[in-house]
Amino acid sequence: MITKSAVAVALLLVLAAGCGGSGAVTVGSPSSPLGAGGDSLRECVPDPSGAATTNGFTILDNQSTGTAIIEQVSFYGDQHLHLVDAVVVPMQYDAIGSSEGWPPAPDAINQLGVQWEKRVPAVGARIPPSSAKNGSRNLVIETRPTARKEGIAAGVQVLYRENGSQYELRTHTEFVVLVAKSC
Amino acid sequence: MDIVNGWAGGATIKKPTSIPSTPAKYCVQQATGTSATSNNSHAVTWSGGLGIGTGLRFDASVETGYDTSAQVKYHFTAKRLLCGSKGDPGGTPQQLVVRT
Repeated sequence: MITKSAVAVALLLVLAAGCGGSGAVTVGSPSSPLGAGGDSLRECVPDPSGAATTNGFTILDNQSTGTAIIEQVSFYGDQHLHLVDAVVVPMQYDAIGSSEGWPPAPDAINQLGVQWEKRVPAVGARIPPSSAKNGSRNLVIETRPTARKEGIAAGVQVLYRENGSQYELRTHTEFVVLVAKSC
Repeated sequence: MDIVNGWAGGATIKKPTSIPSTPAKYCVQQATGTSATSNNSHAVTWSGGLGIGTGLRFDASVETGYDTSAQVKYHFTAKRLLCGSKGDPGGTPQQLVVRT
């Protein structure tokens, strides 16, 4: 028979483990290094071929003093949208944004401040504190719709770690790939 | 509504009278054919002195902010920049501005 005290001890152990940083994940807090995920926005990209689309809408703006390390990138609330690849690109000015095709269009990756040649796989990428010197980082995702009409994701989920703590960033930019000529 | 710059709607509603500055780091490229839809009731966007009625070809301007169900959809017929005044469009832009 399980006593109330046993349950209380178990609960305390669970809480203690969480406070130790081994299991607690801070989700979408404004004080998190990469912020709370922003306001809601719906971004639609037409892709008549249904082959590949660039989602470069997410800017990873590290407001902490330490380096954040990305552990996982995925979509959430997604239907018929496959995340093919994700890279992190150093940037100083305008982000790459969203467009049909992959890799992003030459004029997007050759624009001033975008260092496409220094892109790294998103998982394992190190995000330094944003500054004039460091710039920011653009999370650029290759996607592909898996249905004939459209693919959709409620946002991007990024698990990352900074200074021993784990965080989850959920952007609130809904991403729609329409298998059509225009949105 | 022909002109969105200036004041409208009564004494308690104030609109900025100039196009807000948007640091380049708060801009995202929008390819031709894409669209962006904001449900943010505080979204404000500006044209270079143009009103909605004149067409949204560049430095487009539309505004919500006085109706919680308001929605603004930008359809880009040419490559443009979608910018925020206080953050990037996917973050907390406060005001959205479309620029060439």
